[in-house]
Amino acid sequence: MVAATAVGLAGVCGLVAGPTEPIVHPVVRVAALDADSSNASQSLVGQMRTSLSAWLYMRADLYLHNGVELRTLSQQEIQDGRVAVGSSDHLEASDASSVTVIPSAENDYRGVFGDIERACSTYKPMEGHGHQRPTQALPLFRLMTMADPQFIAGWTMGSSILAGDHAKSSTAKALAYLKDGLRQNLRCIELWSAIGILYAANEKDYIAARDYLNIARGLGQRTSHLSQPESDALRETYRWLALIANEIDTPFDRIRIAREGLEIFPDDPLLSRLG
Amino acid sequence: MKFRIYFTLARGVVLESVRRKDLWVVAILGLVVLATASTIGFFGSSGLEVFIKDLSATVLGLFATVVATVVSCRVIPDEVKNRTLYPLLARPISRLDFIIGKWLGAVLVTWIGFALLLITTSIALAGFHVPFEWIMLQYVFLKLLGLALICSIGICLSTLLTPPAAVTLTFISTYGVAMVSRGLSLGYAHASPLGQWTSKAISALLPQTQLFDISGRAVYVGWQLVPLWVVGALTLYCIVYSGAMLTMSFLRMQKKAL
Repeated sequence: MVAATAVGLAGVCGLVAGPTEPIVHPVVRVAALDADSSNASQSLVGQMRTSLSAWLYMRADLYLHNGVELRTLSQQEIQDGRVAVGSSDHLEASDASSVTVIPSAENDYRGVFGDIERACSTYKPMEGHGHQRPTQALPLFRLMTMADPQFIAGWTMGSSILAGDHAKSSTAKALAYLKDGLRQNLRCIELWSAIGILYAANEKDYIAARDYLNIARGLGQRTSHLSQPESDALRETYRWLALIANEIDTPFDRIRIAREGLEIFPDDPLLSRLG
Repeated sequence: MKFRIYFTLARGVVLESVRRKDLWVVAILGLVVLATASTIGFFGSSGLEVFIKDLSATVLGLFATVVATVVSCRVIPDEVKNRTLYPLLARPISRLDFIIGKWLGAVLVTWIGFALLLITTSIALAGFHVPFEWIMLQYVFLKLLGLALICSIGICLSTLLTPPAAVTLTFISTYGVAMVSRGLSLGYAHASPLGQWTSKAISALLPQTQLFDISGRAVYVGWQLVPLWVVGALTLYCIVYSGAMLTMSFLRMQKKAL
């Protein structure tokens, strides 16, 4: 409950504080942690907010798996040919390379201790597993973005979950959520890109989609060092821009966009086909 | 006759704890928890039931462990430091009786602290309309056993180390075992036969305190009750391991020049 209060207070602080402008602009953003101030106490509070939102993100993942903890396979395990659990609904791409943290009986050397742990903790075989209704985790995404509005993964993953709900208004809610995030992260490639993709994929509004995606593309071109999430978002941006050009523009435009994308992502198979 | 000695010694620990206001701190902490829990109402609790249960179990487990560790690591060094041990041992009380009585006292204080926190947490959960489930009773029972185990580790370490070192090591043995266990599991397949044997030995010797925490099953949706054989095995493990810890404490006390 104390932690609940901390979450609450951090959320309220996030609301009251409003947007802050970074005074330094590092070329590479490390895991969404920005230096917002040179003041030590503000920096500490900022780090607390970042840690809190990262912790909430981990909890949200745990909720999706109903408490079963997963971990990524080590390089050694991949070389040994150990099979990942995979998922039946492909909600999370990371499941394709994950196994349960508590080992299965055949991979556990602990004997009776292992049996007891499997019987008394949240363990079950997760091969081809499904997920809990993602909407259950939605309040956590709202909390984590309140605690740290610059936690981009919270905005993008939360919007994916909102958009994945089959209700009529789901896309509108997801767009509103993303635009809320965009107001606080105007230079964020991922958010511009995600909004554009939502317009294109769910609303079939290619004109609006192109506007958002072009801003993401411009930001990508002006950024010399892209983080992995930014790079992934830029790659998606080029793919969707090329697909949209195929729908509403000329083949020449499609080829031009795809070739521009190929200059940055020369190994991309989709862009190669479109260009 | 022995039970009377144990009761008197345990009662002394509880009274000392009340005098030092340990239990008052827990009670006040519980009230603060209850009062501040209402702030989560700011977000509305709809859809947050799992989150609220998760936080409650985490906070409950953490505070109870802190109480168990601090109380158990202090009882014996305090008696030596305050020189109250000598009049006690001058009576017909053996060193083994002394250790068992102190352990029972530490367990009692921890359980009272846990009960106080449990009551306030339950009121807070009821306020958020989180329904009662039978597995919560299993959680409480196994948690009580786990706390008794932690107390025995604390008592044992306090006879070997200074109180701050004992507190630190008890914490590490409580929260670090799961991490060590995971690490050993990862490396086991590629370890040499000696390494594998060592992993098994470490696993057998380390206190498996994490097994007594079934909060995950109580928090998440749709998990079955823990099988009875597991509850029985954990009870037996608690008795055997606590017995071993108290025996080690006794042997250390026997050798100790007072």
